[in-house]
Amino acid sequence: MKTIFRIIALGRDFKSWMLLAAVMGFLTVGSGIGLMMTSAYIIAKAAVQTPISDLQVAITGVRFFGIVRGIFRYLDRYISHQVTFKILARLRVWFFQRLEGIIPSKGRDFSSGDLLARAVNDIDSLEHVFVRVISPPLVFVAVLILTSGLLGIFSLRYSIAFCLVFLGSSIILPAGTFLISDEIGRKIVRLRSDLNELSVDILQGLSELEVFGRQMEWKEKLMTMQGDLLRLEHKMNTVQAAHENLTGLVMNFTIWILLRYAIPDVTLGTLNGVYLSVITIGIMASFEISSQIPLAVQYLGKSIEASERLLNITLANEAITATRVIATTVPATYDLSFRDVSFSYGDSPFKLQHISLEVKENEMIGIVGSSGAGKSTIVNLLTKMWMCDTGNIFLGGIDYAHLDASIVRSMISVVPQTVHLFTGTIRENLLIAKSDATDAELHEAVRAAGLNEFVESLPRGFDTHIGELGRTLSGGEQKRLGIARALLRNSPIVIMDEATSQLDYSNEINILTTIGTLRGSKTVIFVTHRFTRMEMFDRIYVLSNGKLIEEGSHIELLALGGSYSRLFNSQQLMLG
Amino acid sequence: MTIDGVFLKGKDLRGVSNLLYLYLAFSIVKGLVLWYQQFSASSMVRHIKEEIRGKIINRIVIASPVSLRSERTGEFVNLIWHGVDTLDNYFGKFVPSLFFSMFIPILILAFVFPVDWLTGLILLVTAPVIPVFMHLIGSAAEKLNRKQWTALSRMSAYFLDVLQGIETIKLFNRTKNEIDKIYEVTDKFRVKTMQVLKIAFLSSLVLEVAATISTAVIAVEIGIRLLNGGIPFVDALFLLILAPEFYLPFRQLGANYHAGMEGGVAFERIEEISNYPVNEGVSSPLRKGPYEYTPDTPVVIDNVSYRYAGRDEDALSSVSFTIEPQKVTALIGASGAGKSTIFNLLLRFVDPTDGMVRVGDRDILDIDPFEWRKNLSWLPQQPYLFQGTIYENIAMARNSAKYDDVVEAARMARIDKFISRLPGGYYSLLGENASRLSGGQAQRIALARAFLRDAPFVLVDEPTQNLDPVVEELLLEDMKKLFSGRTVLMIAHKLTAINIADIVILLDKGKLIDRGDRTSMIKKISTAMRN
Repeated sequence: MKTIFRIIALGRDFKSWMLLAAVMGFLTVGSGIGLMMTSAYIIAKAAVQTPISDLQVAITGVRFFGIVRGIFRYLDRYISHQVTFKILARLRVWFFQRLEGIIPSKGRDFSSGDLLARAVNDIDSLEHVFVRVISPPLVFVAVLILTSGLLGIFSLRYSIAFCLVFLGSSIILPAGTFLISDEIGRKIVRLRSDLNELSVDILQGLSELEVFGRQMEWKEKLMTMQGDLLRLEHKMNTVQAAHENLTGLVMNFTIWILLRYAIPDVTLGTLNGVYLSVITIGIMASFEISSQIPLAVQYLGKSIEASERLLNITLANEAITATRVIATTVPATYDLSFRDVSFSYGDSPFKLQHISLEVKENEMIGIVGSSGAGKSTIVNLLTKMWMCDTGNIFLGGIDYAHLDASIVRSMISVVPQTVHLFTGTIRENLLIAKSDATDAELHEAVRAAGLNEFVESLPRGFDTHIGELGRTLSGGEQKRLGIARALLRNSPIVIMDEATSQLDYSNEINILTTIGTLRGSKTVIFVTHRFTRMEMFDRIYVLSNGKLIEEGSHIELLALGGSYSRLFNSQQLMLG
Repeated sequence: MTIDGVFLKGKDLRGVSNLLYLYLAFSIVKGLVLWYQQFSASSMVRHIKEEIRGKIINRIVIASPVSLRSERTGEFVNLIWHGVDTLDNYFGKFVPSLFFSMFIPILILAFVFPVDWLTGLILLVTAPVIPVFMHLIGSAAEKLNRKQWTALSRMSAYFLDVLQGIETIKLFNRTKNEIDKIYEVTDKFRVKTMQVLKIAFLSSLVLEVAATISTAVIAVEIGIRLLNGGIPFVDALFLLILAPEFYLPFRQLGANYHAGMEGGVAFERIEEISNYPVNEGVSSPLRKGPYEYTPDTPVVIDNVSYRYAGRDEDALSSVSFTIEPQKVTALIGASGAGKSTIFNLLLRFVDPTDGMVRVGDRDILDIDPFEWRKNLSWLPQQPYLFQGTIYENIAMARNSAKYDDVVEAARMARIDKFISRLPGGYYSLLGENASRLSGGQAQRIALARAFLRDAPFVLVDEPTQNLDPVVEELLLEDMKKLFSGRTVLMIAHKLTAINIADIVILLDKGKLIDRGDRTSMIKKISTAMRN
């Protein structure tokens, strides 16, 4: 329960609007009561043949209430939805910010299908907290006061009886329903998230499923889960329908009780018979608000689960921000150094052990080693995506621990091992690196990455859509777009993690030539397992199983006759 | 309600307590009946949803991945779940209220006319005004509704995209821009939704006011006649109670109209998906029946051309070559040469725009694609790894694979040592898209699949990319084992891979440039490289 309040707190800026919506909700029900009571009054009066002039006020009242109720309802719905959507936008941004803070360190425990479910579904289901959960109880209390006040005009006994039943029923019934439906609601939220994950898997891995003939199996899996979901939803609907109808029953019971009180009064003459129907109908109108309670209860369970899931991520984030020390200092040089750095990814057996290395400004550095040696881990530490466990990393002499990650990243451009492209055009993907890049800059970047011919061959050029994750491009094209993006950014340090791994020989040579032109103007850190043109690097670090085993220039390392020369020679041998 | 009337008239004493009990009994019965009605409506909706989702998913799992490639996963997921959910209200609320709005008013009119023709006439005259008015609003709202659906889909798709690319966003320091963009996209969604809702709310307001005014007219008309004694009290009361009931179905229809439209839009999109092609390209009727490829059958690419939808140039133009049985054929060429397209053809993800792929004497189109694929082993360039354990990810390649088979396949792919070092061993969970594995490791998991698959026709896309030279050398040795006795087509970029090929085919820009045996082709390539 506590979690849900934290989510609700996000909407506090809209407090007065939400209150206004609740007031409108109350006025809607209130004018409904007025409408029904005055109508009943007219009918009853007419029954005793009152002259029409006596009814003039009541008739006007009926029209007034009738029209006003419609307007209030319109305003109620309009304001509450408007506010809700504004809060939702805020929730999404809040969620993204939280998430951004923990990716990749912790966020990788949540898969993206699940994250989508959180971001879209969970936040959407919180919509109901604002419209359907918070407001009805407020309106309920107001209606309780209004109706019992009205009944009090006739007799205090009526209002006490009404209060007891109305209040009792609206606490006991919802509590009962909540007990039953809370767990169902939570299960529904969880199942939905699982289904989302599975759907993403099926859609993105469809090729594999079809080739391996597994598509029907996965479909069955999905259908079974959705069967479970539908069963739960049906259960929820049934419970809710029961609640709704029980509310109706309680309403009739309330009328029954009041009639039992009121009929003798009429007989005794203490109550004008005319008001008998007025009272009855007034009670019926008051129960309009009770009919909204079942839905509020249903959404409460879902909202609690949704807010807990959203906050799970927040809490993970808080743990990280606590250890972050930020200075706004900007390093004066771009020298990088690792001093005795060790690191491990939590549960993974892999460890980076006691790494020390130096990269001076504008140097060209190679990092080699077999896969799993720790090359990409070094890249993750350099970009401050992860923090090292022990040891220090310095940029321009300032410890990473005191540098804001965004400052570090503004100086480093990375071509990651797997280039992530966004849905959109080639241009949009490039502009991520530099939003104000001119066309000339775009052309230059694409040319440097050897992608210019490809782009020119496209009828729509830079404005060609590349599909989700850039899937309409080949692996090599994706990679080269990633390289173009990093070059466009024009930052002082460039890191390329296996940048040439998916390229054919001529493209590899192209890229290496481009990198060669960066000499003297940029620091280049080139991570590779392909030993092409290794002589261009000032220094090469050789990693093996998380340890730094050799370092030196290509010539020196060959002369050393160690691991590097073995790797190099075996590759040369195979090239024949 | 009627009981009330009885009361007023007679002003009875406790003699009515029987009636009171009857009233209580009726309300219990009414509650039960209504509950049952809601219960059965819900179970009906449940079945409809199950069927529709089944239909969509059925279609998706057999659709060509190539035609899905340009779609957005997020939008799809949104449609399958949220979209189908909107049918809840469509069938649960809109359709019944449509039915009631036709049926109940007529029923009420049938009761009213014999009692009082004047009231009946008023009802009859005012009623058609409501549907006509609703239609006017409806056509405007429908357009907006479609826009809102698009906005919602975009939002979902956009979110998935951003979440999957969150690391890239961080690396490029784009967090602030993305936040602005999220706000923008969500706000667009809000504006679109509010436009729709405003109309929905407004129409129910107008309907309510119209119903109130009409009821008021009737009340005044009856009231005046009641004073003149022109109508008996019982009739007057009866009419006054029925009048709001007459308008109620229309009001409910108005309130549910929005739900109906929302469902309608989702329905259209579902229809669209149901028409997805199973194979991209020239559509041919799907053949059924088992097929077994024996590795002594040549596969002939015969004058084949292919052009992707929406592209101006052929991805392949008039390419002919033979994939010899039990030989390793390597496809080489720069990216965009058409290598992947040939793979897509052989995987039956696309069918030729022109020309023919023959397996022995048979046109490949005459073979059931699902049966054909049973004969294929495939190692894609960017393998997809599913949520679940490493074990599941390898075992999926063969029906009823045993634990030992999986371990053996992993050993052949030289990933077994890595796996057994993990805390969970073969049962370690992989994150989405194998986020915890390096590129080379993911590649080798996929390679293990190919080993386990044990199929006579092998398609391999760049088997040793992301591998270091030592592992590469060992792996190529193992691959020779995998390839022996099988027909193999391999996309190769590196000379090391070409070294294990028998025949080499060079493609460029969709055309076949050269072909030959390994030695002659390697010689040509190295000469070309030196220049």
